[in-house]
Amino acid sequence: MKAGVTPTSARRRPARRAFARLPSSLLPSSLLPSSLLPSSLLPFSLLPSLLLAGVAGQASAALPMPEISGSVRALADLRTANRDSPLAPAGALLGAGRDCGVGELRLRGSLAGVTAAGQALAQSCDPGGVDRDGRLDELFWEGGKGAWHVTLGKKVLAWDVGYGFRPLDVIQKELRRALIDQQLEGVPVAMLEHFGASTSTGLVLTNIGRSDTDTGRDEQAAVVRGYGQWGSVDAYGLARWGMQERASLGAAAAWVPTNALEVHASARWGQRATRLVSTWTQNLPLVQDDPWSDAVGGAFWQALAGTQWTGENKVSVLGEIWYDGTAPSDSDWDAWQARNASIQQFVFAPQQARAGNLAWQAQGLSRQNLRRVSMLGRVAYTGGTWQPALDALYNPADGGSTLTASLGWQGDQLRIDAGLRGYFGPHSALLRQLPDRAIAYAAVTLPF
Amino acid sequence: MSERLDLVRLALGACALLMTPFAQAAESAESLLKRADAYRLAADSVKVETRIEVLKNGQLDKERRYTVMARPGRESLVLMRSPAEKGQKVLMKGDDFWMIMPTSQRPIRITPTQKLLGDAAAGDVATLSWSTDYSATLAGEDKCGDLACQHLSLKARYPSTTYARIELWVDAKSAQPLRAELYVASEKLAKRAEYTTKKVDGAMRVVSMAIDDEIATGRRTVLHYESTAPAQPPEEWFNPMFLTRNEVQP
Repeated sequence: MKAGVTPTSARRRPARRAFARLPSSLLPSSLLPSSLLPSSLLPFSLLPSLLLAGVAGQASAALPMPEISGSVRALADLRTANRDSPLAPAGALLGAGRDCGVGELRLRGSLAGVTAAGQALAQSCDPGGVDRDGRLDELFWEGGKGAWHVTLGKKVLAWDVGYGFRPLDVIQKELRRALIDQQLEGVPVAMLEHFGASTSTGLVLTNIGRSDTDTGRDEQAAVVRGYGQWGSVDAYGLARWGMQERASLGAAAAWVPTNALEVHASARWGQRATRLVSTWTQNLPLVQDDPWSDAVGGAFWQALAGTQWTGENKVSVLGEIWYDGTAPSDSDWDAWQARNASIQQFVFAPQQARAGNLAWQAQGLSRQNLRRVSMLGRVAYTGGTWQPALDALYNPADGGSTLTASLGWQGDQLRIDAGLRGYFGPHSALLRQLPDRAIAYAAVTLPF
Repeated sequence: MSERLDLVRLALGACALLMTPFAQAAESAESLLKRADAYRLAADSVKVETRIEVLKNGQLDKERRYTVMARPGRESLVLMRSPAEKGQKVLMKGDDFWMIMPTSQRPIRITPTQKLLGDAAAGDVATLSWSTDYSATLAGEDKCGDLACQHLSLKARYPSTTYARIELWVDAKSAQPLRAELYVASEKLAKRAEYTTKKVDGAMRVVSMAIDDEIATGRRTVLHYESTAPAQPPEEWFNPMFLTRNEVQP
C-alpha cells in the first residue's frame, strides 16, 4: 500500500517542486523521482519522426477530426500531523500537517493513430507560494495489420487483476490505493501484439536506450505476455528479463463462478528485486549524507488472492490478502526503529541535524508495501449519483491499519469527491509512525 | 348468377372471420417475440448510437451517450462517449463481461450483477434482442390502453442475462412492443419499461425506451435510439485485451 509520506527534503534525487509537494497518498507512482519527464523521453529521440510517419501514412486517406477530451480539477487536502511519531521532530522537513490546494488541467487527444495526454498543475501549500508544473504523460502511435498490432511511444501499461496490489504490474508499477484517481505517466515502450478471438500474445520492450544501470520503472526490460479466455476464466502469464532485475515469471487469473462473485489471484517470482536499503553503520549516531539508496538483489515472491461480491442492491464487497517479498522483513523494521530511537537519544547533536536524519529515515516508509503481508477490505455502493465507499488495510505483523471513508457525487458532468483517511493501531505499528495521522480531502472535477 | 357469387363471397368471409382467432392462436410465443425483436434490431450486426436521459422527479438529471456495436452470438461492445464517462468500455460476450477504464488500461472481469451498476445499466443499453436471451410463453390476451395486446412471459435462457424474467406486452396484431416489467434473479421487480415506436426509413422501429426504476423510485431513464446502421466491427474489438488500445474508434 502507499505509505502516505513523501519526505520532500529527504529525497534521494531532486523532484520537480509542484509534483513533489503533493501528499504522497494522492500521488501517482509516475511522480516518483525515477520517472522525471526529460529522462523518460530520452530514448525516444526517434519517436517524433516515427509518429509523423504514422500520421503521414494515414493522412493520405481522409484525415479524421482529432478527438480531444480533458478535465479541470480543483483539489484541497487538510492534514493532521502525527505528534506521536518518532519522526515528529522532522515534521516540518517532511511537510507533516501541511495543507495544500491544487488546480489541475488534463488534456488528451488523438489523431490518425497518434495519442497524446498531458497535464498542467498549480499548487499552493501552507506555508509557501504557488508552484506550477506540467508533464507529458503519454505520446504514442498505434497501428496494425490484420491480427498484428504495434505500439511505439510513451504509454500507460497497467497490468494484473488485483485492486490493492498488483504483482504482475511490471511495467507501469502503479502505486495503488491513491485517495483520488490520477492520470498516470506512461513508460517508453515498443510493443508488438497478436490478437486472436479470445487470446493475445505480446512482446514489450521498455526503456530502450537507457543506461544498463537504471532500475525500477526506468530499467531496460523485455516482457513476453500471454492472455487467454476460457469461459468464465481469464488467465495471464508473463516472462520478463530486466538488465538489473534479471528473470521474472508471473501468472494471474480472474474467475466469475456465479452471477455475483468474482475471484482473482496472481503470483510472481523474481530473480532479483530493487529494494531501498539503508547503509547506516551502527557506530555512527548521525550521518551527513542520505544513507538510503537502491540496491538490486535477492530472489523474491509476490502473491495476491482476492474476491469481490456485487449484489443486486449495487453494493460491492471486496476482500484481498497479499504477500510482498520485496518489502522489508520484521528484523529490517526492528533495525529501522532502533535507528530512529538512537537518533532521538543523541542529544549532543544540534536539533537540526537530528531532524534531518529522521527525515531521511522517513524514506523507509515510502514503499508500496510496508509489511510483507497485508489485508484489504472494501465496501462500496455504486448506485448512481452518490457513491460512498469504506476501505480498511490491515498489517497483521504489527496491528497497524489504514481506514478510508469516501463519498463521490456524480452529476451530469461535474464530479465531487471527498474523503478522510486515518492511520490506526498500536504506537509500534509502522502505519502509526507516518508523519501524518489523518488526511481529509475534497476535489471537484469537470470533464469536457 | 351474381347473387350466387355474393353468397359464396359472404360464406367465405364468414369462414375467414371465424378462422381469425385460430390463426392468431397458432402463432407461437417465440414467433411473436421475434416479430417484436424486429422493431428493435434492424440487422444481425449493427451499430447503434444511443442517448440516455436520466430524469429525477421529472427533471433532467444527466445525459449520457453510448455507441453500441452488437453482433450475433450475444456479443456487444458499449463505448461510452459522454465527458463524464469517456473512454470507458463494456464488452459482453455471451455470459462473460469486461469493463475497461481509461485510467487503468486493463480489462476488468465483471460479474453479471455489475452490469446493473451506474446511471444506466450496461445491460439495458446493450441488450437489443429478446429472442436470443429469453424463451417466451404466451401468458394471455390483455388490454394495453385502447389496444388489444398479447402478454408474453420471458424466461432467461442464460443465468448471466441482465434480467431473470421479463413480462412483455406487445400489440396483438403487429407485435410492436408496448411495455415490460423487468425482474432480477431474486424475483424482485427492478424496472418497468415503455416503448415508443416510429417510422424510420420506411419501417416501424422502437425509437425510445423509458425505464422507471422500481428500486430507486422517482427515477426514470429514457433511452433514445438515435441511429441504427448495419456494421461489421473488426474481430479484435471483441477481444478484451484489444480494448485497452486506442484504436477502437467507431
